[in-house]
Amino acid sequence: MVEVYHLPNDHDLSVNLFENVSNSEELKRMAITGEINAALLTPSMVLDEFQLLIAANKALHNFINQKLTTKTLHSELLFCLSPTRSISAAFQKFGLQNNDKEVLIVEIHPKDQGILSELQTKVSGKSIPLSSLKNYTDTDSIKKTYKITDAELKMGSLLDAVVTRISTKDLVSF
Amino acid sequence: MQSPKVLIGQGAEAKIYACNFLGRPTIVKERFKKTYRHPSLDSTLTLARTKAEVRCMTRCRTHGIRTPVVYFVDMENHAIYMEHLVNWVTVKDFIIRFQAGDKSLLALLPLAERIGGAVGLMHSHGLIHGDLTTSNMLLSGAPENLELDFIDFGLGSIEGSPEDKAVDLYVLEKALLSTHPSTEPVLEAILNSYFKVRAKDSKEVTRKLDEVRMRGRKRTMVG
Repeated sequence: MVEVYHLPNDHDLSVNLFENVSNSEELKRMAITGEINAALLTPSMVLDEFQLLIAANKALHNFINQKLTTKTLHSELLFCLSPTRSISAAFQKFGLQNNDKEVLIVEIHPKDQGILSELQTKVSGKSIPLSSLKNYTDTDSIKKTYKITDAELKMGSLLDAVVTRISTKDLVSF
Repeated sequence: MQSPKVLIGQGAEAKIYACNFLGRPTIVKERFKKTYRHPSLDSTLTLARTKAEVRCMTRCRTHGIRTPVVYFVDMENHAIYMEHLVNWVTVKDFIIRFQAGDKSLLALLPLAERIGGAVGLMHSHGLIHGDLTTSNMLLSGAPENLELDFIDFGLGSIEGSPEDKAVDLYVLEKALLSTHPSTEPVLEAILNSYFKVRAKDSKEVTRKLDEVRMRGRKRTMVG
């Protein structure tokens, strides 16, 4: 099912998690051609919707201020999620891969104008509640990719550490 | 839902707002333009200050010193959106209430140790807070399990020298003693705990601290 969260500037973030997906390669192709205007993420690198919101807010801000690093709003979202400045690394780590059986589809859109529910038919897989995300999250991979220290985890949550890296990526090297 | 910003404070550098941002209680620190400066210089300086503040805050976190989580840095508006620690109290209010309650200062020693240890850890990584007053330290939790959080790194910097560290300690010293009368034992406990961290430049910092103390206002530097 599609879950919707509010973003600043009268935009919303729509999220839909799928499992038992058999057409990941096709979905990726559709995202490239623009047939699917959303970000296709691998759920293993996503901890919580707040992580998505922080990245989406940044991507939207860059889009509105014409300061995109990537070509589109949704590729920017993927890039913002990543702790590195390499666009290709971001896609490799956070984007849907050809063999993935789960996909997290995320759309940033003007308020009340989301199209994720229409996109559902294009996915050969089962839409599940976002609360099931934790079944697919790979916390070890997240810790490694975001270079999170033990000291940090002693005084804050993993989500706090991830959010910090996303929000301060351009200013701080970790 | 983003709620409209409510102004909750204003300093020399910035306005502080509270709001709900991406579903979380958030503080927005927005630096304002200083019109007496040349616009391009003002922009550069304000940006540099914002960057320094964010860098210092986040570096502290990676070393285990609690600071508010940064949610968003709006470079276009020189604003930092960060975690609002609702229901945390300032160390200032804590000490004031404590002293009003007439308990022995000894009970403040665990807190003093925590503060000294945290500042020691900060300095051992070259991180300078810049304004170590008791209003810039927040507390939460039960007395046996206090959590300490540092805020307002607006004057903070990274790669601090022994002199910078000494000045940081001196500010803490003056702020503590002037705001909270008769808390010399607390200060002593803080400094003891600070030097227990045994950083490479401890001796230098001690020397510089003595020097800085001699400098202060209304003091003649003789001898």
